[in-house]
Amino acid sequence: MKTFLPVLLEYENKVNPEPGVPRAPTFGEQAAALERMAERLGGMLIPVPYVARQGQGVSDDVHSTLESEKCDGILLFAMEAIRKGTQLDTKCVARLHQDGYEVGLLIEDKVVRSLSELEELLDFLHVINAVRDRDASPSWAEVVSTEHSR
Amino acid sequence: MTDSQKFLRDFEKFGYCIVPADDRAELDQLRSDVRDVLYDQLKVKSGDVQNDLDQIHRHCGDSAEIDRLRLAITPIIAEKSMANRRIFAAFRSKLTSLVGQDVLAQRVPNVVLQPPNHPTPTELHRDAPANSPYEVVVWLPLVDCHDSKSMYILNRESTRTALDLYRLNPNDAEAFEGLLDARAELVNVPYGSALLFWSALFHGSQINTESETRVSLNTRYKHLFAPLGMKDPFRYFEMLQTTELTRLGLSFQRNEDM
Repeated sequence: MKTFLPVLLEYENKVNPEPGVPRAPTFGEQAAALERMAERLGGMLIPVPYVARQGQGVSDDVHSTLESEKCDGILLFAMEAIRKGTQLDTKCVARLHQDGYEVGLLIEDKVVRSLSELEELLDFLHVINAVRDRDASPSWAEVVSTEHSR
Repeated sequence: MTDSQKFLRDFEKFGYCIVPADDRAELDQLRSDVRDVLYDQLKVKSGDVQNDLDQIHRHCGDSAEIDRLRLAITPIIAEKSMANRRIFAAFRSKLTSLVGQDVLAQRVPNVVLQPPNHPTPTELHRDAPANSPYEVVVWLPLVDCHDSKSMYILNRESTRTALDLYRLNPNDAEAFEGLLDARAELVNVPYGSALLFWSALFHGSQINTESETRVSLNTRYKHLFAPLGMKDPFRYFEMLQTTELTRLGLSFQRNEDM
């Protein structure tokens, strides 16, 4: 049976993490959802999860954890788990795939197993990075966070 | 002035336009798929597509059941029918003239069932913000929509007036209702056409007092590199199409990672 390293996301804002979402999922809820995803992929989670803080991403020690735990893959609760500042860590995703790990994204409902799946994901990450990099000013953030609806 | 030029002029002036499909076959296939999924869920034998959709309330129970049905069919229609691709294909010329050839599309189009006298119409709102003001919304009725079976919209000027009024008198609900009564336009959109509107326009719907159900889809498109709103782009959007040049640029960046 395959084993996966679960990566939980510690949200910056536990209340209203995004419009229309009243609260962030707890670690328990995230772990339960990742467990189901692992089962769906024919495997199970290793017992100790990795926790990524939103905006800080995962650090290089995730690779040594995967190696020491002899994991077959890594399941991220959300793409946000690999965001550092405004940028999604494309090199991290590419390295995980190149090192032979299956990469799953629960919220986004994606699994990267092949080169074409990796390329498709990296393309989207680069697009979002480019847009976020350009839109990073506080003035723009204020515009998009201002609610005018009645 | 060509039709395309008139469309673009009107869209910029009013913030919305009602346009016929370029490719009716795409639309017919999508409508047929939606009917099939609905009737399959209801376990009811289907017949004429238009009549099946208009009369679907005869096979549904209360509001809660209608909501359950809507939630059940939404992902199926998105996946099985590739709804966002079909809608884009059906209105390709107008949509590309607005958002360009590199396109980000809402992953899962919303499905709306508004049976006669259903007590929860869509409240007045506008998508942007929190959505990007660089998005176009496609409101696609799968039945002929008119009067209260349809939706209402405030054009650019009326939206601006409503915002000004609200900012000056945020607690004056009566004045706001009066403005809505005077300015909101109920759009007549026959099946085969769609309402394309700017994400920053106020819109909503009333209780449907007609004798038929409104079945409609709504979805959003934007240029791939246009500013994002606040919603998680990975959850709400997917890349629909890219130009050859954009693909070269993306492959260049990808090679830096690998």
